[in-house]
Amino acid sequence: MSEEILAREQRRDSTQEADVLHDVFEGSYRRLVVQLYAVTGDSAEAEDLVQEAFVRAAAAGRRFLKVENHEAWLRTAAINLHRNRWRKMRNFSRIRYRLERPTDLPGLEQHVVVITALRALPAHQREVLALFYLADLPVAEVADTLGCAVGTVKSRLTRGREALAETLGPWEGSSDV
Amino acid sequence: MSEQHLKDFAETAERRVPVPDLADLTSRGRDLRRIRMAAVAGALALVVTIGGVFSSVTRDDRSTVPAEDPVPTPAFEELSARPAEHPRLVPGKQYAVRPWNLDGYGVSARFIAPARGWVWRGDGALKMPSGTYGDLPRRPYAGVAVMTADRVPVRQCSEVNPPRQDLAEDPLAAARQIAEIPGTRAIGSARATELSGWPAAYVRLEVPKLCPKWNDVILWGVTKAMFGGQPGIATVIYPGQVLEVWVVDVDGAWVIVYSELSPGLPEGIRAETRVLLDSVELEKVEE
Repeated sequence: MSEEILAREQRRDSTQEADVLHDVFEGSYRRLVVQLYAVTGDSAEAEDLVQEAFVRAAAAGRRFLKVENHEAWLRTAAINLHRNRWRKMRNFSRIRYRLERPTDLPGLEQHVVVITALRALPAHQREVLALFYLADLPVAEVADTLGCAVGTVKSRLTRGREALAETLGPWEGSSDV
Repeated sequence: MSEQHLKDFAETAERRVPVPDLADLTSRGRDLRRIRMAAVAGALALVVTIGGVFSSVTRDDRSTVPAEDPVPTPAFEELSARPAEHPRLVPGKQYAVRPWNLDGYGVSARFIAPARGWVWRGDGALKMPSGTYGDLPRRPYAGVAVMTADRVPVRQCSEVNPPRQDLAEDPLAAARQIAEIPGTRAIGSARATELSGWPAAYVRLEVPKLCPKWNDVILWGVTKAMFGGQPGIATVIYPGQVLEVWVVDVDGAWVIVYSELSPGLPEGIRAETRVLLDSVELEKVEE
């Protein structure tokens, strides 16, 4: 009798995990890819990172189920994967990757100036701009996601806006952080 | 440029994202979970096994004690700041150096060689599109150097040993002094930034022409006698060179990282220079 209850509970958990993952996937996948696209400057890598984050969510099972903010969990996982890849890929593949043309999503011709300007930024400025403006995260949450101080985020936001303004014209929008 | 431009880009991009099959991702997740569980079980078994072997070794014949582990291969190849020759750097390889003239400061600079053709010359790396590197580079070339400095000249070209002033103890103030070095022309204003996580300031310079008598322009240095050719002095030996300079405060040690590009340099080498610069990491180390 106890084995039957245990098996039923396991089936229920498994179904619940699948449902939650499906809902999060439907609601967040595309948005996360665009955020990581802004962070990495490369749409193919962004897709790869977000898919890998979902794989890890599936592997986490009930732990992912219990997370309060599933999208934040996935975004953090994707960003950490991106950072780990850069740290580990200290070989010619990384350098060649940097020198080759990055990939873009099709149909974004009218936004090529924005994409190019973002790519020209140092990675740490691009990260904070993407999380603050595209993911709409408050500064504290950007700092938490990236594992740095709030002051560092504010400084990088300021520098990033200044750098974008050099290419794209004066900044208009929320600058108060 | 407005915030709305970023949001418009994001909204358009979101509609263009191709969506993969979630079932495939879920299946890979299950495989990953199985692998992790197997790894945990294996690690536990290994701990038990090692415990058993160790206890048997301590009880039994000492000749069964395994050999010492080999010396681990360093992740970075150490370069000399005063090399006898100028070795070619291997593309993609990681290098570390105690920067030139930073003896006693406890700073290690690391970088990755971005592509073929870069040569190590002691104070930094250099690449010429053609020809071989001798005692001096031939134009056009790209170079990246890391060193220290605590003074800049207040005059240029009038004497072999120009009078100098101390650099300020703040990166931005120091960068502004560098922007005003006689004989150079700042491109834009100095601005605060960071490099390798350390507070820094950045300025871009051009050297329009050289001092006729000595065929150089002195940039910065640390020795009391500031004239070209002395160790610890940075100079430019060709007119028209453009430099990007970062003054970095590495926990109290003043470090200058700079690139030098000749006019007419191919775009590919400029891109390689950026890649090399982006890979530079500065670390405080034990002396």
